[in-house]
Amino acid sequence: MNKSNHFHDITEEAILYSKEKHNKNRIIIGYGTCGIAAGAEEVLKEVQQVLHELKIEDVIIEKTGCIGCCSYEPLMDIELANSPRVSYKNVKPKEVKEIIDKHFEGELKKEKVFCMFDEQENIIQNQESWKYNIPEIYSGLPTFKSLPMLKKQKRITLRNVGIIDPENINDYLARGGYQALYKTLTALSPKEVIDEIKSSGLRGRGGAGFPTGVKWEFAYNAELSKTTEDSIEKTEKYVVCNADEGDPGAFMDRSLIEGDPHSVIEGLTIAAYAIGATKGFIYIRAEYPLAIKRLEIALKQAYENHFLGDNIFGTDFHFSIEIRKGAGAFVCGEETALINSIMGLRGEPRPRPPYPAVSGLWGKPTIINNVKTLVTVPVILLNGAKWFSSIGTEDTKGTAVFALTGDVKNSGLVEVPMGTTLREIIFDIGGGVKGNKQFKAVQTGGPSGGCIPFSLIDTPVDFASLKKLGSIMGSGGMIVCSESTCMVDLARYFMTFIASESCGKCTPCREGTVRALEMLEKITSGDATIDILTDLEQLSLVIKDTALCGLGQTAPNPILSTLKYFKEEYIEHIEQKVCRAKVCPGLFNYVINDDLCIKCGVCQNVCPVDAVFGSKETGFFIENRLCISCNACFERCPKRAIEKVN
Amino acid sequence: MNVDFDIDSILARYNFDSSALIQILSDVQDKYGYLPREVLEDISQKIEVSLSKMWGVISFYALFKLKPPAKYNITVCQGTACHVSGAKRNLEYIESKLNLKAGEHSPDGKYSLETVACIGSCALAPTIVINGKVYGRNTVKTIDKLLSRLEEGEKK
Repeated sequence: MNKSNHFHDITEEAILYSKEKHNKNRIIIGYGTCGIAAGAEEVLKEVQQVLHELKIEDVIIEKTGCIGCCSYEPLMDIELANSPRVSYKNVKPKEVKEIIDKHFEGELKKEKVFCMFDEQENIIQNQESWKYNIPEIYSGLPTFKSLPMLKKQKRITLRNVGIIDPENINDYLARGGYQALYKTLTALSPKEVIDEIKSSGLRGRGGAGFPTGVKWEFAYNAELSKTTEDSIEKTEKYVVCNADEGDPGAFMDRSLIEGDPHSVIEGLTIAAYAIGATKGFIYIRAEYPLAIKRLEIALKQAYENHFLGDNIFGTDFHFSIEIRKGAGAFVCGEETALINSIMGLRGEPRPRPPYPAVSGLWGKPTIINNVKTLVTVPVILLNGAKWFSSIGTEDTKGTAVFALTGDVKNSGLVEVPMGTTLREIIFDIGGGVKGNKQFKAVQTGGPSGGCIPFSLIDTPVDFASLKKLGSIMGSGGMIVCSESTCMVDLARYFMTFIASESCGKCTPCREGTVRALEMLEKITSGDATIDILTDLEQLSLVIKDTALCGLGQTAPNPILSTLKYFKEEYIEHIEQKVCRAKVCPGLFNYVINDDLCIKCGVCQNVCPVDAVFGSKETGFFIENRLCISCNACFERCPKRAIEKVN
Repeated sequence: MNVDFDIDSILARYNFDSSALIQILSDVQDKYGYLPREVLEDISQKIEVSLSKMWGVISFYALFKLKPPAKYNITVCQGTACHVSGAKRNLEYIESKLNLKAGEHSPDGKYSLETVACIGSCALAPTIVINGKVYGRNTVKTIDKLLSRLEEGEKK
């Protein structure tokens, strides 16, 4: 059997299959973890029920990954045969019937419409002949790309997420899937692949930004220097996809795997070919069950279609992939710790060198790439290094993917060219701070990163610029903090995280982070004196200089950056015993405003520690010494009569 | 306790390979809800990893549990996005409502309360997971609703 024709055949079949889908009515529901949590499951059930009730037949119901507009979930899209896909936002189950009924009758429930997808977001890529009939009623609907949230985005890594059905390989193939792998295996030598990636300027998207092509070259060359007794011809090598997205506040990798699992497989297979590996692992957090499930489905499909296994595309290249689940240890995102974890050991890091590219899994050359890096690889090989390096800045080529969350209006996934400013991301794409609050800072890079104040909001995002500010690019978490975030509390929060996640192997991290946490707790509870700040800074610098691995070395960043940009908040906590954001318990009080209070007693009922005294006759007061600052009374008061005061 | 501890099918999935220890343990936990000692002893012999080494691995990873799960396992996400939207307050509220500290089981085996570093549903912060189902955008009000729903489920 000629395997190369075989590939053309299945691609043709996939395109045909997708075309047929377009000739039918479809309802598509955003079914990522966030979507499900927002209520997609209930919406899906309702859709099935409603279609049955309205006797609408011949509708394909599909689930897709997260398109990245998380604040508008659950999203339900309707695509009538040969017409554009129209997306409805924040759909509640009780609204499903009216939306479907109207849409199929040629009307739109306009106030629920999110956008309309244009041809590029079609499930078939590069089909020139494909044209939509755009019903008149659709005129004036914003297209997906013209939404304020999308206008400045450039989606390369996220190209398929939210567009395709991640559990259907045909969708991936119809959008050009596995073309890059085919080209690689049939037309390029491993050296050519490495050169292409090198000249594209792609840097690792996991956080440190090491040039991907250079890493691959190390592993590629490793066989030349390794001659042991048992390596008769070639040294065994491994490739690993690092999907241990442990940074709290980051979910790019989860969304990518949930929405486009085949591109991870394709990227990893190309990496394996480039360095000469025959075995790959995808190391993924156990906290991501849906991503694991979709990856398992995708792997099965890839094997069935001979994109994995022996003699891929009729060549002599063999490659297999195994999923290895983590078990809840943040440090396993560090590559040497990850290697230990894959081998079934405690996930403790070790000093480098030797780097994994020389000595990794079972002592063999191993490359470890982040999910986003691998997903970008196929596009680079198809469109060329020149195209990719034309995007981005001198320092960092291509695009950056962020998970924009926190106190921001449009939270979700954002992919922008490197060099886009923080202001553009937070205010133009993110729509600014939600709830009319004031912007205070943006936190990037998770527990290894730092907080950037408003005065530096015009900083472009790339590896060098963010590092200069004392933060890091990190893997892509971007958390917007408003005036109601206490920066000292945020530093304390990260230190709590690190102190509990420190693996305990090296003293600076094991002991130092606990001591730093104690100091921060003293400050946030108002028990510190001013000289603690010098000690805290000193300790942070020592940890930074002496910790064994990346986790420890970057752990003090949240402290150092908040000390640098928000020192006045530390001083207020210490000297005036005041938390201006009214977050730190004990440094502010809850007070009932008698002018607004209607003596309903909700505050007393809701208080879990009985700190609210009084009665409906006499009115109520809060005994702040008993209060645990759970905010229950504040949130539940129907008249907003409870105020926080310093 | 006399449960059928046939774990050979799990071990066979990984060809009795000791490097798959973490996978084996997590499959066992999926099956039983925790890691029963009898099973661990059995695995130890069959894949030739000593119990002490296994203990080293189990105690290192946060997800492994040596106690049977409660009927309702409530996990309060403490990710950064959740934190800035009030996850700590929510946790304290649940702690005082259930009279449990994070990491504890209620004596009647009904509730266990845990925290998790981040479940990656940050856009729906603050999130709470109850028996694997994610609930987003929580306030004291939604928590009250969730908890009373669990109580009602008890009565039925």
